[in-house]
Order: sequence, then C-alpha cells, then structure tokens
Amino acid sequence: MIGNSALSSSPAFSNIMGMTGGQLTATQSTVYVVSEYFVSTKKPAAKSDVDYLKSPLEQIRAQLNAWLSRFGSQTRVETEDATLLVAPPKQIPQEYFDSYEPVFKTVTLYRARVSKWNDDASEVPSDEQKNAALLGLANLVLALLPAPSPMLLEDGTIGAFWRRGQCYASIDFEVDGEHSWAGTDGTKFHSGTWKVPGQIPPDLISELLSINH
Amino acid sequence: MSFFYYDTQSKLQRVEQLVAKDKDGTKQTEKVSECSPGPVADEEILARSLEYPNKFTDEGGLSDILFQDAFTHGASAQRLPGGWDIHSSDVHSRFEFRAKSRREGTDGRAPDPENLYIGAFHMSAAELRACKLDSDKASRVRIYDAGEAADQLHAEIVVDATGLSRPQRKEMRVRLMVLAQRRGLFVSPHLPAEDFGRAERSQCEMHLPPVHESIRYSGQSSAT
Repeated sequence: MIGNSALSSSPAFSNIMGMTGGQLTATQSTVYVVSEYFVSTKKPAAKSDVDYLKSPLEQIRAQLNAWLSRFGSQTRVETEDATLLVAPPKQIPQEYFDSYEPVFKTVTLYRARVSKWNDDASEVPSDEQKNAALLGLANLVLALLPAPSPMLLEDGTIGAFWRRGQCYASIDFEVDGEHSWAGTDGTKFHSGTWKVPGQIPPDLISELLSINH
Repeated sequence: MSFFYYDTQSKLQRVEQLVAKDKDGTKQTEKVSECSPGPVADEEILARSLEYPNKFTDEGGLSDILFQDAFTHGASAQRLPGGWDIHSSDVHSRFEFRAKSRREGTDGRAPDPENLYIGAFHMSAAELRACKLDSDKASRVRIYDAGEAADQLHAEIVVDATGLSRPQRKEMRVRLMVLAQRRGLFVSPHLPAEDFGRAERSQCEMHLPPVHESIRYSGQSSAT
C-alpha cells in the first residue's frame, strides 16, 4: 500500500527520523523501498523478495503484529510484492514505535469504547473499518511518518490527524483504500485522496512537514 | 408539516433530506420553527458546544469530527442575539444541563456517565455561511432557526454536500473546525477541576472563567 521511494528520499524522511530520535544520517536517508506495502491476511500473500536481514520491514511487521495480538485483534499485517533495492542499514528506533503504540491500541479498542459511550450518533466500527485503519496506520509507520492521533467518525470510519498550532492534517481511512485527507496551515486548505497501494501524496507530506517543523 | 420532518426510513441522511427540501437555501430567510423568534440573521452569533468524548477526546486535540454532524443529522448551535458576552453564562449553563442529562440518562437515552461539557466556540452566522471550498460559487453552509418550546434559540447548521467528493467533504469539515476555533475555546465554568486538563488538551486557545484561572496557575491541571 505504500510505494515510499519518493518519500524516503525526500526531506520528510530525514526530518521525521530526526524527530523520532533516529540514528540515520543524511546520507543514509536515501533509501528506496519499492512496492512494499502491508495487506490484510484476507488477501492472498505473494512471495516477498525483501531481504529481512537488512530491511526494517520485518521489524515493523513484527512490532505491529505483537501489538495487534496483545490488543486482542485478529488482524495481522503481511508484506506482498516486495522488491527491496536499498535498505536502511540501521533499525528504526524504538521511540518511533512507541509513539504509535497508543494509536494502534485506541483503534483496536474503539469497538468496546464506543459501545460504552451510549451515543446514538456513533456507529461501532466494523471489522472492515477497523482493518482499513490498522492497515492505513501500518503504512504510515512504513513511511516513517510521525504518529497521528486517532479519531472516530459517526459512521464508524476511523481517521487520524496531526495538529500543531494552526497547522492541521487529517486522513479518513476508507474501507475501499481510497483515503480522503485534508490539511491546512490555518489559512490555505488542501485536500485529496491517498489511494493505496500508492505513494503518499506530496501535498499531504508537505502538510505534515509544516506541522512537524 | 414541519420543515424539519424527515423520513427515518429513507436511505438519505436527515441533512440530505433537508437540503432536498430547500435546494437554494431560501428557507434560511423564513421562520421555519414555530417556537423561534425568526430566521437566523447573518450578524447573529452562534455557540457550538465541545463535548467529551463524542466530539473530542484527549488524543491529539480538537479534530474535524467537530462538525461532522452538519453533514448527517444537523449540527446544533445556540443563537446569541445579544452576543457572546451577554449570553455566555446562560449558554454554558444550558450546555452543561444537556451534558448532565446525558450523564444521568434523563434525556430519554441510556446514561452516558463519561459525557462532559468542556466549553464552547462561537462564530457569526455570516462566517459560517461564507465557509465554502475555493471552487464553490454558492454557500454550502445553511443555518435554520430550529427553536423548540424548551429552547427557543436553538439553531441547526447544515452543510449542502451535493456533488462533493469525499476529500472535498473532508476539507469542508476541516474548514468548519478552523472557523470554530478561530476565537478560541471558552472553557465551561462548570467543568470540574479534575477535568480541566481535557480542555487544555484540545490545543485550542483557551479563554478561562475565573474559577479555572486559579486552577491553571496553581498547577492542578496536571492532576488529570
């Protein structure tokens, strides 16, 4: 669901790794991971060409699956159609994963949480909606984007957002994989679709950069 | 038949049904509620409540779910014909009463013990009606007088999302959120001290009633 070659070689990558306490240097940020994405186990898994001895993808996958198992989710993430050209030589810092853990936990537990709200207006997320969010988040991890905050829409769609000051960006994880996003610096507004599998829209990355600078 | 009557069996959302009944929005200039003082004028100020947890949670601050009901059921607002300063105390009390009713289940629904009224945003009707996408020629936000016997100054905010793509609808939600937070969050004087941290975590500019000013500077907010 993510072809993050452009992102990984962009300033966003260096910036985010710096934010998360990453040990990657500027030269090491020229990373290319092509056609690497997470899919639901309901989809047939193709053979992966990832060299897991060098790639952080196995680290990401193992971490996400450990959380999902711990939070009681049946969902597991897998890799498919992967071709690894160059892998980052160092592991992703644990702090980065730690920033995502509460997000995955909240999303996994939304069903129980919403049922306690007694709010007629809010639908409990379906399995499809929950999995769309988990996989969307997994692909954000894979793109090394900073952890968002989760949000729940009335129809059960799960979203994620980032905000700092007047800057704000948000994604709705749609079950069809065409995730709507919108962002603003408080005066100008942008919106679009992040269609997965596919590269995260540069406009969205720009919005996130403005939030996290 | 009331303008606000809608078919609960329809596949269309309530807001879509209202928009279909008033395609050009001219009903906004008419008195559509028997209990209201009249249509909502552009210069009127409207208050929108921020409630935990169904409009806001502690995770990351205010988000664009604030106005999502303007696309589905209709977003409630309180008309303030005399402006915020004159009506703020009454509005806080009314919003707190509603939240208390939700907590205790005296509003006809099951009790929702977590429901909490955090504070209010306010904006003018003209600002809301001017909220649209760059590509829009006509206004998409409508405000109807929706007064009831027990709440004559109740208004409903409705977004005409006809023809909008999903990303455009989302952008409208974000635009409405940005508009709402422009003047800041006016924190409820009824908010318990132990929940003050929730208001802080909205990441909005906060306007505090005196009771919370003392809390803020005594550092009690860290208790939550």
